[in-house]
Amino acid sequence: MVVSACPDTDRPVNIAVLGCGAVTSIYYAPALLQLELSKMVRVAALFDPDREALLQVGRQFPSARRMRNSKDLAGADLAIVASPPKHHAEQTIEALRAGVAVLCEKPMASALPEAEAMAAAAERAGGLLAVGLVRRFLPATQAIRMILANRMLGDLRSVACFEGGPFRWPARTPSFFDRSQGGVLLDIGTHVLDLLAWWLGLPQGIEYEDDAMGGVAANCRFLLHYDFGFRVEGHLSRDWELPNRYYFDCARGWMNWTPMEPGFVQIGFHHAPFTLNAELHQNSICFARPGTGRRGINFEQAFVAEIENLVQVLRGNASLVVPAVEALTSLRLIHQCLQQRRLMKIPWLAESEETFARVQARGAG
Amino acid sequence: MSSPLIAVIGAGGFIGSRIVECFHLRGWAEIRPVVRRASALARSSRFNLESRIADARDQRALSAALSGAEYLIHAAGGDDATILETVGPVFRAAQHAGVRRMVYLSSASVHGQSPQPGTDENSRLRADQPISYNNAKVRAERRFLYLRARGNVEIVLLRPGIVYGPRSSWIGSFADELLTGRAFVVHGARGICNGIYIDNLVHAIRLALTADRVDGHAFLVGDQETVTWRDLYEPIVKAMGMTFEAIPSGNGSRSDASGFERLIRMADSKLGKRVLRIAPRRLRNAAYEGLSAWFDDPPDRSAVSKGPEVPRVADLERTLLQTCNWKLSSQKAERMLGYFPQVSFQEGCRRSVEWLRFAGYPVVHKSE
Repeated sequence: MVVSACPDTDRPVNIAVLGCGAVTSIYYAPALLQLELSKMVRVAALFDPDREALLQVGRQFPSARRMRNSKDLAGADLAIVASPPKHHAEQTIEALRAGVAVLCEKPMASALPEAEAMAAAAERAGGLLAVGLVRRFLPATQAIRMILANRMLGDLRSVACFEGGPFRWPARTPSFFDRSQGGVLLDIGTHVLDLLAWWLGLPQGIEYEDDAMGGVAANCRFLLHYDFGFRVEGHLSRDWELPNRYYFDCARGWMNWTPMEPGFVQIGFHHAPFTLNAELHQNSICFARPGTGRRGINFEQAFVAEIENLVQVLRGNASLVVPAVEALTSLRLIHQCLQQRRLMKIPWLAESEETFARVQARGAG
Repeated sequence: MSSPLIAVIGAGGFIGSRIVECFHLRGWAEIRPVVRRASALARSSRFNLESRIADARDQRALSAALSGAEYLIHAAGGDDATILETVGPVFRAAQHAGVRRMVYLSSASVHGQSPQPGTDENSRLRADQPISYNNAKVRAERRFLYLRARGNVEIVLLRPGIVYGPRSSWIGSFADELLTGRAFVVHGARGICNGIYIDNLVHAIRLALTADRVDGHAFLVGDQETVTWRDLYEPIVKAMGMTFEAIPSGNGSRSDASGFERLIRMADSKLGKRVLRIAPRRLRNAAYEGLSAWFDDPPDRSAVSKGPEVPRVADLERTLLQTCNWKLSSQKAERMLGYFPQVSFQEGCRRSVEWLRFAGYPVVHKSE
C-alpha cells in the first residue's frame, strides 16, 4: 500500500538529496533544477560527507539546508538516495521509517539480502520505494517492449546485447571499485538485466562468467535461456569499446537499438531490401488523425521523467514505473549470475598466469 | 627478486595494465598500480591490489603513492606536454620515496618513425623532428638523465617500437578501420614494422629493473623477427574475414611514388629537416600535409567494407612508419639485460586476434 505523502498539489514536493557525487551533479541536479522551475519540487536538503561535493551541488540549490547526517530528514517528502551503493540500504530504510518516500539510485543495493530488507521496510512502513532504473523511461526501451509484446516482428529467436567501453564515469574515489560495489555486472548490468527482464520476463536458465581475479570484473558474459526457445547473449565491459547494441532476431525481421540513441530504433524485415531507422516521437493528433508530436525524451530528460513519476505517485495520480519489487527481480538475476560465476577464458594469459588467475578467481566477488 | 614492491605509474593504460597483470599473476613481485584518476582503476581492480590515485604531475601526491616502493615503472602516456611535465615530479617523488631504480618507458620513435639504416642506441637524438611526440620523448629522456646525474634514483630507459598485443590500438584501431571501411595502408605496408609484443616488453622491463650496470642506459627492445607492417596487419585482416589485397594502398603511379619517396626522404633526412626548419611554417605544414593529401580519394574499396564513405588521410606518422626500411636491433639489451623475446611474432599475432574475439570483434577466422 502506498501512502500519499504529499497530497497537496499546490505545494512543491520537498526533496532531500543524499549523496552529491557524480550521478547527482551530472543527472539529478539538472533534472531537479528544471522541476524546481515548474514548481513541482523544491530541493530542501542536501547531504554528503564529502564537503567539496556538497558545496558543488549546494551552489545550484542555495536555499537547501545542509543536513547534519543522512537521518536528518525533517521536512522532506522524498529522499533521493544517490550515495555509494553500500549506503543504499541503511539510508533507504531510515528514510522509509521516517515516513519519507525514496527514489534509490541503481543498483538498489550491492547485495540481495540488503535489497530485500529495503523492499520489506517499504512494505512495513507502507512507504514508497522506487529504484533509479532510468532506462525504462526512454522512448526506445518502451518501443522495444511494445514491439516484442505484440510480436510485431514475429517470434523472438535470439537476442545479443553488447554494452560498455573504457570506464569513463567520473568517479570521485576508488571506492567505486571496492569488492563490495561489485563489478561491471552490478554497474551496467543492473540496467541491462532490468531491461531484459522487463522486455522478456525471467529466464529459465543462466550461464555467467567474468574476469574478476580477486577483485571486481571489468568484463563479463552471460547467457539467458528461455523456455520459449530463444536465448540472450550478453557481453558487458569496462575495458574496451564494445559495439554497444542490442540486436533482436525475430521470425519476420530484426530490431536494433544503440543505448546512446534513446530516441531511435532500427527495424528490418528479412529479405526486404530496406531498413527502417525510426526516430521516436510522442503521439499527437493532426486533423483528427494520429500524427507525430514532439521528439521523445533523451537520457537527461529521462531523469526528469523519473522524478515526475514519483511526484505524481505521491499525489495519487500515477503508479510507479520502477517499483522496488521489480528492481529486486533484476538484482536476483545478478545474484544468480554471481552465484555460478566462473573465470572467463582470457586468451592472452600464459599458462602460469592462468593457473594463478583461477586460484584468485575462486575468491573473487 | 624477493617480492619487492614495484609501483607502476600509468597502470590503467594498455602497457601499464599488462605490466600489472603479468607481474601479479606470475608472482614476480608485489605490485602497486598508480593511476591518475579513479576511473582508470577498472582494469587493475580485477585483482585484489592496493592501488593509488596520483597525478604524475603532482609530486606530493605521487610521493605518497610511491611510499615503500623499491622499484618504479613509469608507463604513463599522455600528450607532449604531459610527457614532459611528469618528468620532474616523477623523479623527485621517486627520490623522496626512496625508490632504488626507475624504468622509464620511452619509445623507439626518439630515432624517428623511419630511422636511418644503421640507427642504434648510440645514434644522435634530435629534438627537432617533424613529429612532436618524438621530440617530447627525446626531451623527457634528456631531463631524466639530467636529474639522475644530480639525484639518487637509478634510471633505465627502454625504447620499445610498435607495442602490439591485446588492447593495443595498433590492433584494435586497425580492426575498427577495417570494419568501418576506413582501412588503408601505405606502399602496400611493405615497410619494416619495428614491433614488440607486449609480453616481450614486460619481460624487458623486468630485466631492466634488476640488471647490473645498466643505470643511465637506454635500450631498444623489439621482437626477434624482422617483419613488415603487412605481416602485422594480415592476421587482423583475415580475422575480420577480409583479404589484404582489398585494402587500399597508397601505391599511386610510379611517378607519384617516386615523388612521394623523395618527399619522405627529404622530411626524414638531415638536409630535408634543415630545409623544412628554415622554411616558413605555412610552407612546412604544406609539405607535410602534402604527404597526407596524397592519400585522399583512394581507389575503390567496396571489397573491404560497406562502411561510411570517409576520406582517408595518411598522417605523417603512418606514412613514415610504413615506409621504414631499418630493423632496429635489440643487441644491446640482449648483451646487457640478457633480453631475449619470450613470445614469437606469430604467437603474438595469434594472441592479439584472440583478444579481438574476446573484446567482441566479429572474428570469423580461426587464428593460427
